Amino acid sequence: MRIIAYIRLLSFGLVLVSLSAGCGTVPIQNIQDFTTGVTAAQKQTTLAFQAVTDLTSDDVIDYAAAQPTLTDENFFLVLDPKAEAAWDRSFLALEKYGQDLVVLTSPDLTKDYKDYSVSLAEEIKKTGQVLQGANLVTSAPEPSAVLATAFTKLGDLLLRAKAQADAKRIVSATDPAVQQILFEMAADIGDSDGTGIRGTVHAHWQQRKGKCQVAFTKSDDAGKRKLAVQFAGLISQQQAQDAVLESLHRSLLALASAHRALAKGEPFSMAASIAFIKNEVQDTEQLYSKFKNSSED
Amino acid sequence: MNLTLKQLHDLLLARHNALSDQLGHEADPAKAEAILTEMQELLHRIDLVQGLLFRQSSQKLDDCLARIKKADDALGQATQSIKNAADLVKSMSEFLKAVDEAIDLAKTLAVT
Repeated sequence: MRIIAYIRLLSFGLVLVSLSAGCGTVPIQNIQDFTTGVTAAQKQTTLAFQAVTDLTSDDVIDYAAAQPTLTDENFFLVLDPKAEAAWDRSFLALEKYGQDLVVLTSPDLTKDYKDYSVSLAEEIKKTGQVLQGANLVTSAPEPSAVLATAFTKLGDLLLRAKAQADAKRIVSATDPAVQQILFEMAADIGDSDGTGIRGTVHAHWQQRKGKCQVAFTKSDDAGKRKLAVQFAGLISQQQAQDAVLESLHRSLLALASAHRALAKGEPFSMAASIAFIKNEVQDTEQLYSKFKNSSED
Repeated sequence: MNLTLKQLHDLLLARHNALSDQLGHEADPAKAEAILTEMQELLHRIDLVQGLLFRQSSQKLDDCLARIKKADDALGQATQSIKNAADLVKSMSEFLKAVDEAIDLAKTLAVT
């Protein structure tokens, strides 16, 4: 009768802990999706920055070549590699943070605890037999499988509830820093082709088109036709590169929104944000290869 | 982002864009050439300011990193506290194994 009462009590405890653990949890799938989104955004950034460097480096040389003297100060990279490394560090830190969140909220986290609990029950039984064999006790204790299971499961749920509570607390506390990083990055890229890196890139394409326009004023009819074709090609490349940067800008904001959803426990907007970033990366790769192909023409 | 530098960058971009528009309407080769040269000077300054902006905002990213790393440490500690519970159960099991060995040894000594 006493065993039945214990089991009832434990069952009630299990229900309570299950309910508290399930309420406002940080779903592991959402965290994995966030981490995947960070990796994707980093890849997208590498592609976009490489294209910016390819474009601006040529124009920096053009400027240096147009000066009366050749000096070191006229040779520089618009996107400084050391500053680019800070972007990489940020992405890596966000990735590691995401991976550690996955570990903390993983169901496997308590696997060792459960395995050791089973070993302990076996060891208790064995010790009882050893004691009996040595005539130190009259009968070996037989741990109840039902009770041992119930206690182990209760411990497992308590540990997982603690892990969930810790994860929620840490995600909420980290959200302002994550927002600051991703919004700073998005502002760097620019929300239109008149600001940020998008603005700089736009100016470079206008400069290239300007060379065509000047040549056009000096050209005969046949030459003008050629220049018009060249001008159309430049417009196409300009649009493709701006689309790459615009896409990156959207991805960074989507990632910020995904983390905000994680902190607030909004699974649906989270999934939508990550799906959005995955599409943006594909879009960037296609646009970048289009951009590269037209540059090589 | 440094607001003053950003405003300067925006201003240079707007000026470059205005000159580009002007160039589109200029049919005189000499005047077109002069506009393009002025655009090139502006573009050089746009690049310089862009470089500064990028470096400064990257510094801000580095400043935020400390907060992400702190969160990561907290995650590590939380994970460790769960593992500690498992270690406690494991050490209890190991303790009982040691007890068994001690009893076995005592029995052997008693027989001899």
